[in-house]
Amino acid sequence: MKREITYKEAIAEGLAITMRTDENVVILGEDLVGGVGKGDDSLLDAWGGPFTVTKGFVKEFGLERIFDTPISENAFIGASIGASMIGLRPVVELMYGDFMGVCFDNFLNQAAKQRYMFGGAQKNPITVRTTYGCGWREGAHHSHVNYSLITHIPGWYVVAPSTPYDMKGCLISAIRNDNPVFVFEHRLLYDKKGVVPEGDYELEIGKGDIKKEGKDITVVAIGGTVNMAINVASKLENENISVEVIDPIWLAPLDEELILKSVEKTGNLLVVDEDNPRCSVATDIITLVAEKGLDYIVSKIKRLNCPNTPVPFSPVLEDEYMITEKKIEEAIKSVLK
Amino acid sequence: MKLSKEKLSDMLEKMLLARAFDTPLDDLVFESKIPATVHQCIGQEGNIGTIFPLNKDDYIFTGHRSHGLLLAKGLDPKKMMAEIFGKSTGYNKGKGGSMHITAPEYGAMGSNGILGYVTVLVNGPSFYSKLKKLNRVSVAYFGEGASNQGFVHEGMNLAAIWKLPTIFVLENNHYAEATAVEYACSTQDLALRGKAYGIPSYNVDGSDILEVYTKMQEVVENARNNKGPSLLVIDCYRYKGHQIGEPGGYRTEEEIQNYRNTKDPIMKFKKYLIGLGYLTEDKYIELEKKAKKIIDDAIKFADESPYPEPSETYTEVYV
Ligand SMILES: Cc1ncc(C[n+]2csc(CCOP(=O)(O)OP(=O)(O)O)c2C)c(N)n1
Repeated sequence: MKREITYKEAIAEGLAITMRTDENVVILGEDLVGGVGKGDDSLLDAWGGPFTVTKGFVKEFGLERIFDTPISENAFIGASIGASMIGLRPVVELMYGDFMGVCFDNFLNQAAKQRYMFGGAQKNPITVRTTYGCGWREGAHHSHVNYSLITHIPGWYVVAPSTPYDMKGCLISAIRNDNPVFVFEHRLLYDKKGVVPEGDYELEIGKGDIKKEGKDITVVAIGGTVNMAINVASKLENENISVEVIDPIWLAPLDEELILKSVEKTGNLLVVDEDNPRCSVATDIITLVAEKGLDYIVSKIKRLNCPNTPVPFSPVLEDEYMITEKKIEEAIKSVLK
Repeated sequence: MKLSKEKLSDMLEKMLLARAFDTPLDDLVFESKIPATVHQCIGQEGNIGTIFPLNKDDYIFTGHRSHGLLLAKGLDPKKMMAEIFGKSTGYNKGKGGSMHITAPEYGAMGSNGILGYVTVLVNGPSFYSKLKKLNRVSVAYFGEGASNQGFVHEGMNLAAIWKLPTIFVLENNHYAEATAVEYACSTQDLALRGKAYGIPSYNVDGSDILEVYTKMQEVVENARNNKGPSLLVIDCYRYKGHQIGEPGGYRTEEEIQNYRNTKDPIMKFKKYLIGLGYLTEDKYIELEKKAKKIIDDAIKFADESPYPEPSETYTEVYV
């Protein structure tokens, strides 16, 4: 029988494997251990991370490899970028993607530009893990989906896996890669199970995946919306609509060929993206097809984003805000009609 | 400083109201009446002593753990509870939630989910007040965990060089989530963080609301008299988890019990008032019941209020 683990466990396995195989991999973040600094070892590992991803890590790796940090994102991410310049491979956890605002220069001007600006003399093999996704009823400062902001910046690799298998393999590749990589982990996927091999494996950076084959329409879905798109595709089979679901997995670099080939086959395109619409990854993919694949399109190109608003708190409003299977189904039908 | 019996009584009632507000939230979260987890300030009620020297039109900027402070500033528990429920009758029409309650008509300028940011925002109203000679003060509340954000240091320096009527209130409840102050802060004398910027800075005991009140009164006065900003570091303790549902484990049960038994701000104040002859056991029980009734009514109001219309999602992005 094939082993199934959760997305969250897949993250933990990927982290642990890279830490075991390379002593230069260290992890830093807020409350990754919990209970530190009281001089009482029985309190250690109290949390194992705000979402318990690193539970038990301190036992295996000790406080020399897993660092709880003060609430100073600028300082610990900056230090990690600095350490990466001389050989460390830090993996930092930014608790919520929303918090990138307090430490944005690390991402905008530093890790992203050093390689280029110093004429190849420096590199920053840092991995930033962050959570994203609305649906937790946590309001505007804890729900924003903003991977497009990082994707916009040359110099970053960006990955937003949708399955435990992709998560583990991409995380391992990310940590071992010499470029800065931003890993977006969807919180609503944390408990989702999938088949994952036990051992060490890497997935190719920049390679997307066809999650479901079809011939009438290409649906490019990202991160948290991939499973929804697959469910809708299965449902529409009964209505004789054949949907091909493409998961780019990596937002940078983007698997352009995979998307274009699929559009060539189906002739129709819907892009589903949980980020806000303006200057989004969806916009980018639509542009790709408009520039390089317009001849393939037989009817329409459409994108489905969350609205151009912050994330509201009230469940009624957040439900309205979020991408749903129903919205995906309607969007598919509006393209094909 | 001599305080009237009425004023002292009002302080006790506000402390009881704060505790009565946060106490039923566990059940309401578990019953999903409240759609998400919230942060309670049970154990930290002494900190609301900072509110009493303020006028209604003085400004406060608060964080994720702010229900008690907001109630003391005069906000309506009904509209606060409705906001936490995500109902249209809430202060922000259900768009904000527990972490983002705002009521500018009470000088409550908005609770913030981004730690430390209030310490730069706070200088805006104090800058304006100074410019227009309004004689208002502006107060930022933040935890010891948030005090490790760069914002805090920039905010203090700016307030100091421009001599702004800003008051920084650092609520040191010893833990930022699962991380202890002993680990995260380079000094345990957090008042040094203000002194480094030339700001008069004081450590006060949050289990004694009168000590908190008295020092706040003094620094508010200084701010109004153009003497610039101050920092108040309140030593306090939260009894509950960081948020409802958190796993705990980063501190001992004895430690929590010890605080509850020896440093509870409400118990200490009650004892003090009984000693003065201003309060009896019976009167205390009556006040506790009164607070509970107000909160029961607030919960009923929130529960019976309608949710916002879905179309509200798209409004108010711009003016
Ligand atoms: C910039 C930022 N980083 C991290 C968080 C997540 N977070 C929310 S509350 C909290 C602990 C805050 O501790 P403290 O400032 O001491 O306030 P307390 O919760 O103890 O009242 C953390 C880490 C956040 N909201 N914002």
